[in-house]
Amino acid sequence: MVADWLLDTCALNKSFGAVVASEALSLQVRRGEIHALIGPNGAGKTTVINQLAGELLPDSGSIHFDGRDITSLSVHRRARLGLARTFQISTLFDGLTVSENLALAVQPRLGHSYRFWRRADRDAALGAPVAELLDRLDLGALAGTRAGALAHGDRRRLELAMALAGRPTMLLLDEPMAGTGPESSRDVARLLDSLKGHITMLLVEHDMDVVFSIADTVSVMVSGRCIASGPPEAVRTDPQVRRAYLGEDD
Amino acid sequence: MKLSARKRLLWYVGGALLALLPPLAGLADEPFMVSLASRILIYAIAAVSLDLILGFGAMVSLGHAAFFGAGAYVVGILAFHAFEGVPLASGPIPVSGTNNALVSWPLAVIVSALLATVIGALSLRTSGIHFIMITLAFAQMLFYFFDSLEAYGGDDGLSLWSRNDLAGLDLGDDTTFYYVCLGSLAMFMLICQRLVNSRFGMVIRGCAQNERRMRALGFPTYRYKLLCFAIAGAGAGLAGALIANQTEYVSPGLLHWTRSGELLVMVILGGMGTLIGPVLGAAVLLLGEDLLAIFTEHWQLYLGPLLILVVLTTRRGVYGLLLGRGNDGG
Repeated sequence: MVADWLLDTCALNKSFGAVVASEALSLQVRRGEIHALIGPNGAGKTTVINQLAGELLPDSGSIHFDGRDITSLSVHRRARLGLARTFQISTLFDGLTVSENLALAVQPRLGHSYRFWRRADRDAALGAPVAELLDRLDLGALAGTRAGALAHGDRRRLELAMALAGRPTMLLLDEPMAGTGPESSRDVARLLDSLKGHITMLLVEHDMDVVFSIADTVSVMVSGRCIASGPPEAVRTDPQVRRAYLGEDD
Repeated sequence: MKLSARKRLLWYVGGALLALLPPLAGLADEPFMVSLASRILIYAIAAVSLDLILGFGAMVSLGHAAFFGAGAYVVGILAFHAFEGVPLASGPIPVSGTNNALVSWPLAVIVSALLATVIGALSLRTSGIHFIMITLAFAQMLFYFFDSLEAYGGDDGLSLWSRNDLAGLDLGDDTTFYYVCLGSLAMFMLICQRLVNSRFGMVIRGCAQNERRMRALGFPTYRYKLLCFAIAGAGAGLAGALIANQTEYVSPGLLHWTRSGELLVMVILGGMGTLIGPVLGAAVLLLGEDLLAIFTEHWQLYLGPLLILVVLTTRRGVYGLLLGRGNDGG
């Protein structure tokens, strides 16, 4: 196999007591692609994201990222290697402003944070990338608002902006459009599409229109197993997928 | 901004009052005030240091007095050996005691910081209620250690012959000692003020609000929190060194868990997550104790409800009250 896999998971198994969340799960993500991971609720998609990000350790199996075995690396080490994530439920610093949230997200990229004297809010090394992110995610007008006071759609955009702040090589996106209106969903989809080629993405998403319009590869999970993987058209017409998932849901 | 103007006013009035307190006390013919004020300043240092982990880092420690007491004992033990003329350690390299503040105070700070590093390294593997219990347990271990340390007075404590020598200053003079305490508090608050607004400080606040996200962003949160815990321990050690000098006496009581509780009360009463709050809290609690004690020996009976009232009705304790409506903290 000479394909350029950025992320290669091999035979992941994970169970919580009697509940099997991942079963012999193998998933390959090609460098530069948007790889959608779909499946009915409870299929184990978020559990996969949590294993890839390092919050959960698989019972068995291996995960390689950029040619490196990261199966047992800690969460922060994976992040520093360029594997960033977003959370299904926005996980922000509610007491800090939008700018402060982003500045914190930029900090790890600039090396260690054992800097004790200079004010962080007047630090140009943080200010410039923060301004760029505010602009890119259209959050400029909210820069001084506390994250806890943001509307849902704005929280989702900040969530995404924070993952982008570290300039990752790969993004694990856990339902980035969950609960946002159709317009806002389209904006996020357009943004993800514009990042295609620069950042590799594993996208968990329920909005099939978005999935089939921007994904290069679609993998379908049912009950912890991956039942199909391939180009959107092939997956859409796969009889097994239709039976197990698409037919029921749509 | 009206709020920032109020804040500035508070700094100026507070600063001027503290700077002029000894002459004012002299005019009022209440020299005892100076000694009480020194005590407040010393506890303020300890309370501010606790607020670094409690208010900014959301690490609820019920063992902060351990570092306070350890700092005091470092000063006490070194002075004891200096006056008794007994070497602290014999052997190939004999170590003698000292009454020099320039040696014993930094040493108190370092010992407390190291102690906090060890205790923090183990405690920070837990969180929430477990963290409270484990810090309490470590502090009580140290309490019983000093309580049974017969060589240094055991539960009777250890009296110092005099206050330390500090670069030719007469610390025995209460006014001089007051200004040394005031200078120490000012220096420590400046350091904390820079610290909480620096990149490091933002990391600590981030850990307090959402540690999961911090890890996902790539921060090794444990290390940052541990360093913060050690810095807080160092601050408490400095306060301990000063209290040993003020009372010229150290005892296991300085490490008792009720003392840790008192420090927590000061921080919460004054305003958690601010730097001025703990100073106000120390002042209100110690002054309150003193004033109520004039009227009744059951003063704690009245202080308790007062505390409950302040905590329930204000967002940021006494500091929040002084800033008035419209403050959202910070």
